[in-house]
Amino acid sequence: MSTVDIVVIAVIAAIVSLAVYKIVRDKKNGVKCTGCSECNLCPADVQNTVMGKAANKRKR
Amino acid sequence: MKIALAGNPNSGKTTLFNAITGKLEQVGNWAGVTVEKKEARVKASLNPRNENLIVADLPGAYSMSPYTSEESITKDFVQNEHPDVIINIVDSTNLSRGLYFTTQLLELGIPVIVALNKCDLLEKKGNTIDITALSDALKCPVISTVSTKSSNNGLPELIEAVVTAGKSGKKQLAPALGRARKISTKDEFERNDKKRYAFVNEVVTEVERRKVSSDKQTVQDRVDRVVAHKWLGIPIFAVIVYVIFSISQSWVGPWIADTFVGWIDLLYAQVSTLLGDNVNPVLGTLLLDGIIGGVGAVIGFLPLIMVLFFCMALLEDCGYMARVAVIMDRFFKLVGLSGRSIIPMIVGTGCGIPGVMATRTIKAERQRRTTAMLTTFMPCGAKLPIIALFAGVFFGDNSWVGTSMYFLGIFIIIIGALIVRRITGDYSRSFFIMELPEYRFPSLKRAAISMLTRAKAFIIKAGTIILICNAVVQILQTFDWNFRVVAEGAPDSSILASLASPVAFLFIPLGFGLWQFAAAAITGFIAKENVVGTLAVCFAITNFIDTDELALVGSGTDVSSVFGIGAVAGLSYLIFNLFTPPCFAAIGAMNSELESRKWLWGAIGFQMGMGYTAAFLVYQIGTLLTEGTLGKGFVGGLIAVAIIVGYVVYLMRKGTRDARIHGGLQSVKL
Repeated sequence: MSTVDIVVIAVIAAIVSLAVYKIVRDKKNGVKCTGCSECNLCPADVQNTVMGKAANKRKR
Repeated sequence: MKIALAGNPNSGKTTLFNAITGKLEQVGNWAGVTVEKKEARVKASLNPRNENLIVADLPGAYSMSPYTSEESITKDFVQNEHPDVIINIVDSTNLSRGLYFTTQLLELGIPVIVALNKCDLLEKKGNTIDITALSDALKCPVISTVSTKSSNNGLPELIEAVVTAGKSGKKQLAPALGRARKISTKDEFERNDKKRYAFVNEVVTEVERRKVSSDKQTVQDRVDRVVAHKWLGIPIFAVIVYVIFSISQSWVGPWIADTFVGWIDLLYAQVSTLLGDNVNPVLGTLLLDGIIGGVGAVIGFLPLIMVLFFCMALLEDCGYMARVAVIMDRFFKLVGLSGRSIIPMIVGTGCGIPGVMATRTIKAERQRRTTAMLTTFMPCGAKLPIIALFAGVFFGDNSWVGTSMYFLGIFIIIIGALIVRRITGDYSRSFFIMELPEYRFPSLKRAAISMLTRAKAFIIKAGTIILICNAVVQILQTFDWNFRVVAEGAPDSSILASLASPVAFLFIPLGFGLWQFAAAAITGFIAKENVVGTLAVCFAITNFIDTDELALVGSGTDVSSVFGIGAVAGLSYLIFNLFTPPCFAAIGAMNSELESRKWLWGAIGFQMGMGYTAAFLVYQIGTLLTEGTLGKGFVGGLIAVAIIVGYVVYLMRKGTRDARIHGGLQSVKL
C-alpha cells in the first residue's frame, strides 16, 4: 500500500466521519432530520416519531 | 417575563415573532401556517435593559372556544401557562374580525397590548383607525406596527409597552363583559357573545374610517373574480406553474448551474490529476466517482432548485396560494375532501413531513387520514432533482414535464380520495371557509431567506446522508460477495447488482428492468435525492448538466445513451419514483398522523400500487404510441396491475356494501 493510498483512505475516512459526526451532533442538539429545511414547521412529536423514538402522545 | 403572541390566523404573528426575536420561523401569507407553539427571547436591540423577555408564538385562533387542535394550543397556553403579558396582534385591515378575540383576551385579567399590525396596508387602502380612541375603548395600550419593515415599525414602542405593563402588576380591565367567569348555560354563552359583538361593532364604528365601503368591490375582489374563477382558475394556475418551471429549469436555473457545475468539474479534475496513476483504483474510484461524483451530481441541481424555491416563495408571499385552495375546493369536495386538504399539500411541496403533519388541522377524521396518506403524492423538494434530471436528459423543452408532474400528483390525489371514500364507505361532506389574505407585493428578502434556508439544508443533506449512501453504493458496486474487486466490464457480479436484480425483474414491464435503476429506486426510500446520486455512481457520471450549452442535456445524446433506456421508459421511471411511497421519514410522519397500522399499511400499499400502475400505463401506452408495439413484459405487468386493480375494486365494493348495511352514510371504523 503506497503513501498516496494511505492519504486517500485518510481523506475518505475524514469525509465520512465528518458526515456521521454532523448527523450525531444534530440529533444531540434536537435536530432530528439532518438536512431538512422544514424543521421550523415540524413539531417535536412528529420529529420524534420520524426518527423512530417514542412519540409524545398527542391530545387532540 | 413570559409574553404570549395571540391573534387571528394570518394576522402576522410569526412575522412579528421573527422581527422581535431575530428568528427565522416559517411564515406564509395564508391562515394556518403555525400549528405549534414556538418560544424565543426578545433580541438585544429591542431589549436594551437586557430583561428576561421570552416570547411564545401561538397558532392563530378566532376565539377562546377552540374549533381546531391548533386553536386549543393557543387557548391552553393563554389560560393555563399564565403569561405575564399578552400581545394581541390585530390585522388593521380587518379590525372588526380581530377585535372579537381581543374582547375575550381582555376578560382573562392578564395585561393585553394590542399590536395593530399591517398598518402600511391600511394606509395603502386609504383607511384610518383612531388609535387613541381604540386604546381608550379597549382599556389597554394599542401600538401600530408594521412587522415586515426593518425600521419605523413600532416594535421598540411595543416592547416598551409590554415591559411597562408586565411590571405594573395591574389587572387588565375588560370593557365588554367584565372578568371572565364560568358559564353554565348555553343561553348565557350566547348572551355574552352578543354583548361582545355589539361592543366590537360599536368600537369599530367609532374608530375606523373606510375610504371604500366594505360592500363595494375592491381591485382585489375584481382580481379574485378572474384568478379564483371556477373555470379560469385552473388554467391560470397551470400557466403560473409552467412559468415557474421555465424560469427555474430552462432560463435562469441552468445559467447559474453552468458556473456551479463548472466548479464541481474543476474539483473532480484537480483531484483526479493529483491522484494520477499512483493510487489504488478502488480507492480512487470511491473518492472520485462515489463521493465527489455522486454528491456533485446531486449538488449540481442546487441552482435550479434554488430558483424554483425562490419563485414559489414569491408566489406564497403575494397571497396567491390561498386562492389555489379555493380553486381546488370544488374538485376536492366531489371526492370527500375540501380546500382545507390543499394547505398540507402546498406545505408538502417543500417537504412531505410537515405536509403530512399539517393535516392535523383537519377536524373530520376520514378527511384528515385521507389527506395524510395522499399528501406525499405532491412532489416534494427532494424529488425536484429527479424531475430536473429526467426532464433534462430525455425532454428538450423540459418545463412541461415538471408542470405535468404536479398536475398528475393532483389528479392521483383526487382518484385516491375517491377510492378511499368508497373503501371506507364514509360519504360525509365537509365545508371549507377560508379567509383570503390581501394581495401584496412579495418580499424579495423573505423569498431570499426561504430560498437560502432550503439551499443550506440541501447542501447539508448532500454532504451527510447522500454522501454516506453514495459511498456505500460505490463499495457495494465495487466488490462481489467474496469481497473481490469486480472485474472491469462485469458490474453485474457486484453485491449491489445481485441485491437489486430481483427487484429489477419486477420493473421490466415498466421499461426500466436494469439493476442500476432498481438500486437507485431503493436508495430513494432513504432520501429521494439519492435516486440521482445512486444513478450517478452506478453509471459513473459526474454531472448531469451540459456545461457547454447552458442548458440541461436536452438533446439526450450523452446521458440517455449511458442510461440505456428511451424517453418513454425515462418518463415511466420518473413517475414511479414520484408516486410510490415517500422516504422513510415521511412514512414515519404518516404513521404518526394516521394513528392506525391498518391505515398506514393501506396507505403504503396504495402508493406502491398507484406508482406501479401509473408507470406501467405510461410505458406500455407510450411505447405503443411511439413504436407501434407493446413494451417488454406486457403480459406479466398486466397480470400484476389486474391484481392490484381487482383488489382495490373488491375493497371498494366491500366498503360500499358495509356502509349500506350499517345505514349508508356512516364511517366504517378501520
